[in-house]
Amino acid sequence: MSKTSKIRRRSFLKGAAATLALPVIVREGVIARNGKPGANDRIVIANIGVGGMGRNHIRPDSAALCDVDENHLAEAAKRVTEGTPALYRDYRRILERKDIDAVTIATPDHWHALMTVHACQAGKHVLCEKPTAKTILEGRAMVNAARHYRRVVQINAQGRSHPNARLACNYVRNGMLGRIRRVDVWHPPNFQPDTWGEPQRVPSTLDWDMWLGPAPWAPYHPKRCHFHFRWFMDYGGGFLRDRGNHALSIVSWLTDNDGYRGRVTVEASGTEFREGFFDVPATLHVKWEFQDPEWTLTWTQPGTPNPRFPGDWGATYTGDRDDLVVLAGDGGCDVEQKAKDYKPPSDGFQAFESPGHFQNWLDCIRTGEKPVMDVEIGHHVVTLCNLGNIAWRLGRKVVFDFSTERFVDDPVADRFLHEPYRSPWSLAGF
Amino acid sequence: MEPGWLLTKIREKEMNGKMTASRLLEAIRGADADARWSAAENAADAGAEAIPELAQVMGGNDPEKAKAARVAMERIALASTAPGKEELRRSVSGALADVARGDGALAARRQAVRLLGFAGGAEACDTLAALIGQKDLREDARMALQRIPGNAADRALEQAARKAPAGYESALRRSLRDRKITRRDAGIR
Repeated sequence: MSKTSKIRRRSFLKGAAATLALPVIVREGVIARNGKPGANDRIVIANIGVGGMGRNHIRPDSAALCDVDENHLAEAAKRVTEGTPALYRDYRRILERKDIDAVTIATPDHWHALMTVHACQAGKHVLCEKPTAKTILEGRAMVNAARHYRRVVQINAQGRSHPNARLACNYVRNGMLGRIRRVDVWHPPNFQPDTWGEPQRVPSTLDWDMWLGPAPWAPYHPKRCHFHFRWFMDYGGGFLRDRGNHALSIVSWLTDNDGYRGRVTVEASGTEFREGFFDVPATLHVKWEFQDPEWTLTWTQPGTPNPRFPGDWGATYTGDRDDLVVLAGDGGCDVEQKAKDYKPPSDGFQAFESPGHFQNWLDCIRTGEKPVMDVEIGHHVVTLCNLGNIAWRLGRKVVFDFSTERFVDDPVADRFLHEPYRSPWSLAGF
Repeated sequence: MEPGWLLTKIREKEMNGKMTASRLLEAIRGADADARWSAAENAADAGAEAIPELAQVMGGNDPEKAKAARVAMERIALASTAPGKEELRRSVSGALADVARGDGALAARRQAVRLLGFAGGAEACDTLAALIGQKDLREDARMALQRIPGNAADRALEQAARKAPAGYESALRRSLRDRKITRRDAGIR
């Protein structure tokens, strides 16, 4: 990077930081061009959150990059080889730009809903990292915003674009296991903390207040921040809502549960980390019981891999006639050979063959169709994860009704449907 | 189908029987870490009586004991919110409000305020409204009030907004508005 561009970037960030105290405003007129882009039109993309998973979203021609960590921005800028991206610390500056059609969001979980809702209101299509949302109401808000503002919102639980997951889906949905009775997911425990998190000085390159955003205030510590936010309930939700979002996405797809609107009974048990400041459970066992059709889903960490087809994490699908092991559920999805060898009948179920998760999103922006991991599916899947964590925290069995998106006869469980935000953030009236 | 570690935990709980406040506090303050964590994780039945002393332990200088006390306080508070336990919930809410109003460690007071968002009802609203006057607890108290359904919390937020320190009224007005968000209009301007 040249000296000139460094200076320009630094002075911009200084200016952006000065605007952070402004109220949340996306101007009414700031909407990307109406209608769908043509097949040959360039879709102008900006990336919000460019460390961690966000690095993978950067395009050679990304028009703008945003991150609250200046180091992330500097690294990310090197990945843009066609043109010079504008660099921002505040995502609202990206949403104000009329020339940007679509954004990717790869921030910690507690930002996903606000940024997606804001982006839809500003007329941008969205590719949002999993897990979809931190709370059940946030997930619903994302669906509402996508539909109301007619935007394509894809959740980046990319297992639904994986060829092996599609083969598994064809195998199960064509009845090769008979009727599914249970699905058991196993996973290693959450990461063990190695510090009590004594407050540390915020690095000069990081905007800690903006990193926290809508989450309750907490002092800075590097293991509360990048990557490790997963181990705090205020920002993440442990592996259950992290990789569990991948695993349960595949479960929901294979069991044809995406459109389930009945009740589910959820109970959870686990243990705490005795040492260190992470507050997600060290070990966790969750059981979801569905009705009509009746079947049971479990999540166990640490769980025991299926010896027939072992892997770090995966699920055993048990039906009346047979069972099947599917490993992982993200970009590393794998399935037993019998599913790979299976040829669905010509009149049988054929799962959608995705051209790749990102490409599917771009295609849908052009066609207006729903993407393979549409935000409504993402909301359904992450609700299962969130229900597990809510049952764990409450320490009792809860019944959730997907048709009303409320708990049954448990008004205090309903208080978990949404986490109030730190001022000035709000899920309404941007 | 339950994993082995969970079966062990269930057996351990059955053998120990119902947790009492005195047993919980003895285990949390004691030297045996296994006993401490077994007690903290099974603290649900210990009731409001244990809360003041748990708050004291949270302010102590042993981080592991403080964490166990925080876990126990949360288990007691959330267990009291189960349907059909109104009397228990009110007593727990009262004990949490005493901690929140008191002069103990800030970490314990913040935890009590946050838990009042779940275990608190109309009886907790005046306490929470008063705490909005304290800078270190203001945001936690506002968020707890936002979470509590009913007219008492509305009135408390209104009252707090009228007396709010300079620049904070808008946050309270936003909480009043956000309490009305439904699943139908969430995310729509």
